[in-house]
Amino acid sequence: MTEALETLIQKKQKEIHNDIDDYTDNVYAILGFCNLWSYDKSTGKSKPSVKVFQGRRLTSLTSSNITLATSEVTPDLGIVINDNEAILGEIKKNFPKDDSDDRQKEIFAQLKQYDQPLSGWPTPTETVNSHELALLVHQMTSMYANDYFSTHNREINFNHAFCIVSFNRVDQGDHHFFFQLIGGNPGCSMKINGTRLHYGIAVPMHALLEAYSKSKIYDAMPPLPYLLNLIWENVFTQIATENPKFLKLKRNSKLDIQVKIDYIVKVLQDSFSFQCWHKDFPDRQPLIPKREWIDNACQFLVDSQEALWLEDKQELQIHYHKLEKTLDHFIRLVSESLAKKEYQPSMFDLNAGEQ
Amino acid sequence: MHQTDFNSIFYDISLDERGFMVALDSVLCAENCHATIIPFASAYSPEECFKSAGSRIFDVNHKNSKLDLFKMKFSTKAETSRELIEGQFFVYQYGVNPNLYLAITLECSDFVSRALLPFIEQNRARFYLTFLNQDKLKIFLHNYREGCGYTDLNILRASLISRYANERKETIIPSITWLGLPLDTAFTYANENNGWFKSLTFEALRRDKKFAQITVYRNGVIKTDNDVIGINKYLIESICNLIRDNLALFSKRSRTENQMAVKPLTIQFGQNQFSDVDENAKFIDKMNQLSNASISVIHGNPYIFLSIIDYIDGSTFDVWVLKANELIIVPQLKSSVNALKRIINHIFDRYAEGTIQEFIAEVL
Repeated sequence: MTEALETLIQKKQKEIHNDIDDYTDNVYAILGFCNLWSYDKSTGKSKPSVKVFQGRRLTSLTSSNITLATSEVTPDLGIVINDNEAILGEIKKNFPKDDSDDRQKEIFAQLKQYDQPLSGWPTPTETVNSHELALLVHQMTSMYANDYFSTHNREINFNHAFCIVSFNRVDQGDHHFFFQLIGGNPGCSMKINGTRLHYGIAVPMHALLEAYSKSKIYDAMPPLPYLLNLIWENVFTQIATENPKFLKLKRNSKLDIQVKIDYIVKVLQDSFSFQCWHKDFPDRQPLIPKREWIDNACQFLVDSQEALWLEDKQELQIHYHKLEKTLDHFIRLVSESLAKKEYQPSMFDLNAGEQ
Repeated sequence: MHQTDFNSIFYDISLDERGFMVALDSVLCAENCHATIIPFASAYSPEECFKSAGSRIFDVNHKNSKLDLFKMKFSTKAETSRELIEGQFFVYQYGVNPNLYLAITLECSDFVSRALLPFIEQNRARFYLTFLNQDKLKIFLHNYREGCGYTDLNILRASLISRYANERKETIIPSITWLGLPLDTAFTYANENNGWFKSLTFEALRRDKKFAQITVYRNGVIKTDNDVIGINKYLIESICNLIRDNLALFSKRSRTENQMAVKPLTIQFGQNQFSDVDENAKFIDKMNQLSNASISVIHGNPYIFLSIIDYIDGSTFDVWVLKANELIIVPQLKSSVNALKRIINHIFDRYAEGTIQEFIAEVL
């Protein structure tokens, strides 16, 4: 392997580590933001009057609205208070710094889709009296979102109250997530400001730990190595332990195990999705992780010669081995794969290869 | 090898707990021998615990509902031929808890260290031995000294493991250095060297008269040549209570046993152990030394988030450091008592000791 390729692999490894951090932070941001409304200080439990959801499909009640591209929307998070008031939120950890490729515009177009009467809420009538919109952006890029909105406020023309909330992880002292209202339209203040969001609220990670431990995956695909790590630990290892050879399996030996793809999806859904939030209103909740994410992860294992497809790709045979650092192993494999696709050997490398 | 005729000693004794210990005490007073007592817990019956396997053959003689006498034969490779190690030991159900036992033998150290203890170590899924952290060991020995009215416990030999070493490095303190050293001074020395006692051998003294020579090991095993009654009251009872408490704390922690809810534990350090971020790298380095496990660092700085697979039985844990004085262990889908104990034991041995507690989430 050339030095240049190795450098590229290391660059990819760093990027994957950052992606995993971003993904984890997004999950914490969803949990932390929803907790601002659902957590009852007096009991230390969730308020029965507040329902929270992640990735729920809501339907447009104004299908004649020609400005809307789709009749179904799936916001990152939703909060329903007393079955009649609600907040819909979208998380964009890294808001684009300019609109050269229309990505800023696309984000607000997505939010605009939530700016209409919607049905499918987890309430007895499937409707709410009113709802507000929130865009959650990391502090590093939140002012770009605010600037864009200030400039394009008139053309976006939100009918519903809209606000921009910045969030960031603060690591001074105990680690916590800090949420602050930094902008929006004049109508945005009512419910969100009721929680002092204008001055900023710190939510300790410690307080969210139990929730995070159960809900590590939201409706965006996790970085592949992170997903593979979850599968390897919680599905493959558990199957391997049932084999009497597992205990004495040496580091350099392999144990072939079989697993149905549906089973992998089911274990992760039951154990690490936001499903626990939706147990009282499971309809309209997409099943997370999506089957295609798991198919992709399994295909990667096959491509990496860690597994074989069986039964028309409904089942996988894994060459299970006891990895010393499971996540590092998959970060390395994925980085190598990405780097090799990107790598253009120089003339020097080609000549060296011929020799 | 010295063979004790256990049967003749114990056939006629009253078989309640005190009677058994009195009889054992009498044997030690009369004979020039020592007893090794191994407190352990198990979900299995003694017969299921000590089941013949490979070169270790067990033969059991039921004495009554609480007492079994086992004979063990262990064939091992010697230089030119095979060597046979034989010995006997009682397994006594301790107190009212049906899962707590004492394995007691009068056999020589060779039998204990080469046959009996290795068998227990190799079958960790069936045996739960405890670990005595420095605080607990010190308290138990203080209570023993005060309770039995001894003038002092005179340290003869200490096996001290220092956490300063990069690799596991044992420092055996020469006995001459420790002759006459009082208990408190020995613990102060260990503390100053960021170490822990793997074992501590001492004389129980009343004025200048030696009553017993006792060795206490970190795993709760006790070896003594006298005073079984005092040891039972002040050391074994405390160790068995600790085993019981830890079993209660470590049991049923997995998410599958709790309808997918999480039941984290914390190690409280009582000081800001992680106030300096350099400490994170030291901790992760020590965790990487955990044998037969996968350690994945998902986040290492400034907070710590590790995911761990125990390759002995497939238990999985997340480990978090979110506050400077606390480490959190979150058992995931599978969590056995032994795996949880192993990970905590490793943290105490290699990194730092603390107090194990239930996790209480910070109020928002």
